[in-house]
Amino acid sequence: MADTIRKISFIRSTRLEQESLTFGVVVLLAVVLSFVSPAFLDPNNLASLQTALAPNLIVAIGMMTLFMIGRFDLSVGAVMGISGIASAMALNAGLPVPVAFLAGIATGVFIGAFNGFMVARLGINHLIVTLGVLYMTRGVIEVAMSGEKLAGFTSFPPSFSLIGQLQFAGVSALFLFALLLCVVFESFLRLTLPGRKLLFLGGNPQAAEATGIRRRWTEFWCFVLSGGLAALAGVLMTARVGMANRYMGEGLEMQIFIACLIGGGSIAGGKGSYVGALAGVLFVTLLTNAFNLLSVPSEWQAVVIGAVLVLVVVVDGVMVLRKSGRPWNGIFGLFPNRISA
Amino acid sequence: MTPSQQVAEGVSPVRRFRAGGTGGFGSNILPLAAITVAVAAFLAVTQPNFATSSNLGSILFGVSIDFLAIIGFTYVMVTREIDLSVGSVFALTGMLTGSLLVADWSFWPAALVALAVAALIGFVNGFLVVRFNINSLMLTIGTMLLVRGLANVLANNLGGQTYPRAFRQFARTDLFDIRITIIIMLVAILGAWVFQRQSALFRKMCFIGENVRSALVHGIRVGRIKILAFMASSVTAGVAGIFTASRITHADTQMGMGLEFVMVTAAIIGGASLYGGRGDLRGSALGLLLLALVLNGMIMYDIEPVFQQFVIGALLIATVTFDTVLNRRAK
Amino acid sequence: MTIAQPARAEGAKPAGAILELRNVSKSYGAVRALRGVSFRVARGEIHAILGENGAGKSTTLKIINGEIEPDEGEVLVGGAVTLARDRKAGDIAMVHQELAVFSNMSVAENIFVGRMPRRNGRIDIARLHARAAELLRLFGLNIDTREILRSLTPGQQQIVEILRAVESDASLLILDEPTSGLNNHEAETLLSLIRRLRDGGHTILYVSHRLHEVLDVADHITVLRDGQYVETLANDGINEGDLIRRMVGRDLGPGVAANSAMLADAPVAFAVRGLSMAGQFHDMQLEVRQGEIVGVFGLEGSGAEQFSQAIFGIVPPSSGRIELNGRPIRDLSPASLMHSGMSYLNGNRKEAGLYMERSVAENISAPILDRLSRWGLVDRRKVLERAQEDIRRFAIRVPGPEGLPQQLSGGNQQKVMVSACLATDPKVIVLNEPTRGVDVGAKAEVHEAARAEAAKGKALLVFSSDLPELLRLAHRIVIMRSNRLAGEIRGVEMTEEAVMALAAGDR
Repeated sequence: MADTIRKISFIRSTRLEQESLTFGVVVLLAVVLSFVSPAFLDPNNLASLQTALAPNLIVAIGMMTLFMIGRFDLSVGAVMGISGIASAMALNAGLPVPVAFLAGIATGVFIGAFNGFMVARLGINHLIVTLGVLYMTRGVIEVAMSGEKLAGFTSFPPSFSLIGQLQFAGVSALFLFALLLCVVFESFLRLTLPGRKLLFLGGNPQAAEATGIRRRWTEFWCFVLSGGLAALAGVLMTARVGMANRYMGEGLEMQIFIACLIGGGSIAGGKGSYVGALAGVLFVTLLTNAFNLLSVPSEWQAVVIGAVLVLVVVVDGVMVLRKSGRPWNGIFGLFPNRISA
Repeated sequence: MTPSQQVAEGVSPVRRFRAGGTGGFGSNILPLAAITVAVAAFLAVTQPNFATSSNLGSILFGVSIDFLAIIGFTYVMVTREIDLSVGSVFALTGMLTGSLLVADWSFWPAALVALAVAALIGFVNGFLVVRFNINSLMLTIGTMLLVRGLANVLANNLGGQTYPRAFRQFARTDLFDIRITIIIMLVAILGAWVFQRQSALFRKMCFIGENVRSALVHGIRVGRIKILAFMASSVTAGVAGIFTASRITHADTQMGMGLEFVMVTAAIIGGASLYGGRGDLRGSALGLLLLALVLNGMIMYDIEPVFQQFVIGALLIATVTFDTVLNRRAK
Repeated sequence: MTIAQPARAEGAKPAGAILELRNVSKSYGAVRALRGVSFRVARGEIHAILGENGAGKSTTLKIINGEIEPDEGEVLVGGAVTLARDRKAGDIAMVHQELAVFSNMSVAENIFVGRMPRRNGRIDIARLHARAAELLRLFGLNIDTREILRSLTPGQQQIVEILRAVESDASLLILDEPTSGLNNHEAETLLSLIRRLRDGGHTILYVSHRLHEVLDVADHITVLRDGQYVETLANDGINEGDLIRRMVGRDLGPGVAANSAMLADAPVAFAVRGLSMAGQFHDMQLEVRQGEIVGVFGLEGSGAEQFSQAIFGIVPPSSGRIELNGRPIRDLSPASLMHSGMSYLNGNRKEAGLYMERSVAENISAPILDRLSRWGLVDRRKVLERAQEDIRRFAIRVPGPEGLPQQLSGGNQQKVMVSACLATDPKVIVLNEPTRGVDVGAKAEVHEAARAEAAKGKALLVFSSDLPELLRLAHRIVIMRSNRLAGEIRGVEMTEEAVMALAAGDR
């Protein structure tokens, strides 16, 4: 048996097949957009793209971590909102900027810990828990903002606003920070044992536990991470746009959810990467940007997002059926129970 | 001994056992009714505004409309699936009926077309779940967004326009001086009682929910029944949507928002389970009533009305936690 | 060298035993899985454990691996008495029959999992792949260590999983049916891997149904039967016949079933023609005549389990045909097959048992709800009467037809399932593990019911991993091996030896 070992390609060995595909689609989308809409390459539009990308990417990093272990968190949008408000309220109360910043983060970490406790400790369905928390948090936001005007808190000390306004060579510092975070997490995933353990755990929970990986512990801290990152995005976003109101992060959970699925995550867990999260976020953000540039009404955007989600879930289901060895006729055939002679 | 004598003998000791068990038809109806009555009594004693006929009437009216939507929803849960698109379908059907009426259609064709659209959505939900073996929680979040978008398209087209006068009066139709929806609710509860007690279909649904592999081996057409349940869920949500559209008189993008979670909570309180095999329409009705009383009580006690969302979220988590822990203990 | 091994092992005294079981017993409820089992495994040998289904192999392995504690007796590792907890944490590594791999991770990562080489807190990727490549080369595998596991063949995946156990530096490796999903070539590679491991100083406990493999590779062979220790043989001039005789014990003589010759004229009620399912079974042919009981026997991994599900449309086969009374079935779904007069019992109660929250009467009537209904409403009186009838007919011990199945013993639960299966008055009956996990009395009653159905002219197809059951029940037995039909035995030729020779044999 002296035949040579068949070497495999870089993309395959790094399991970036779907990520590359998504990046390709993103590039295609960008090229098409620049032709269809001249406003796309306008500096203002590019700047607003960066502003939209940064928080989405930060939240998606947390979500993708959960996807890897086969979980997800639908409370991220609301957490983002309430953390911004928490920081703003702290600033309003005259607390120094670092303390206000931490207050926002702590709020998210606390909510993440609650999610983690319910899911990892009590074993409650993560979709129900995080949806319930989404509702509860939105309720708290309404209560907190009930005396405020629609724009919410708008006056912040300059040092706080500076966090959001900082630029390097014309590129938003927030965006650079989000990219840096993405790189750090990608290295964590690829180069460290705890990072790999996420994928082991998601890929085969029983086998992973048998090799000594702590399932509940990991699950708990992943939810804390997700809450903390959503809070970070919320506080940074508040600093960037200079206001904290009840609308921040509304509906964001679904966009991020779809971004993670498109970027290579799977509801079943065991796959995904932070580069993929970036690709997915780019796709979703560009799509939203395209809607705005082409003045597609927001309700049609929801239709498209919903349709994309249905499509992704169906494709996921078909793949699972194929893997279990079901013939194509049994999946798509008009008479799935008939067999060929 | 004749068979009938044996039957009579066999029944009695077991009845006692089942009354306290988790299974059976509506085994937690009585405690739930007692709690509901207790909450109502508490509110009646502490708040003078509660026990007025107008307040009670409006609570009951509201519950009776939501109840229409929970009919199919409960039975989807019995088959161990879930339909989170009900709130959106509810809104779409109501607004579609309204839009057609604004476009000078007459009522019945408009309502029937809208309900046919609802049935189609239900069919698609059920078909995709059955054929591709998809988690219905996931799928129906997608259809929820999609259908919500379509409903908002209709709402935008209508702007702030109110529906035709005749339609606005529709929900206020009275029969024997009682709102028609309340009468429908009472009739439906009676019907559900017979359906759950006697019908072959309901038993098959329970079999599917409890043990789908055995149900398959026993020749029960699992796919067909699941699709039927999803269609029923959409159609009953649609009927409720038509009444609601009439009640609120114009297209409102907030219509039916979060309804699905009220339904999950009410259905589980009423005896259904995320783990299938159980569900009782009478319990679901009581669950809705209990939730309505709690929310009404909050208003009476001047608790921020916006806090309702928080309460619904908390109740959702609490009931599901309870359901999960109970289910685990049963295993 | 292989020939030298037995001699070395034979001379091993207790001091040389890496593992010793002393008088180990274990019961699950009323079922005594192991009764006073004692044997010894010498350091550095390949020691095979043989036995029929239900002989107690898997319980023995679980005890050795520290997953369960025995009720009685001691387990010595390296001469010292140990607790299950210690064995679990100690240097015993077990590779289970089901693959426990991470299909989205690379080969190297699958070998090392939590023990990947690190430097300064980072994974040393170069060293990880170098060490993995070294291991793979050592065992003659030409795979890129960066390859994703799911693109490997099942055999290669199995080998990777074994290498994970090897890499863990365990001194005792337990391999439970490692070749069950593999083709001959892959199995061959695996066996040479196992030999190399032994030569490298590992001790291997090897469990397999495939006798020729055991004879090929093992130094010593311990035979278990009905939860009891039979004998430990040195693999020295013994053949398959010797092993089979010890596995099956006393000769049952000719089957007690009626002569099937008189059934040869009866019309064919059920036929399978060229049924295949990718990776599970190929080109299956089968005929069952009216009044005939045909047994299907296959060891685990033979495809018999999937075949039993496919003929009732529970998992769809990919090609072939099924005929009922000579008419091909177009819609291969359980519902329409039942409509055509077929019925199915899945006796594996863990998988598809009773509806535990529904009464016994409701359980019995589940397949015939429509017949007991008028205008969609169930006639509760008829349901109860029907249940009463079956409770009497099958002597089900139950408080009443409205009792819940939880109150019933396993045997009585099984009888409720049999009642439900026969409720439709089917012409063709498929029984899949009809008596799994039930006591002797209930077993005899279920068999009696099956014979009664056959006497009425029904066609019965019985799948069972319990070979004596098939020998007692069936007119003839069809045997599956390696996802194909291996042969058929009927009448006086039906002995455990003959069946096992086909199911586990060499060719």
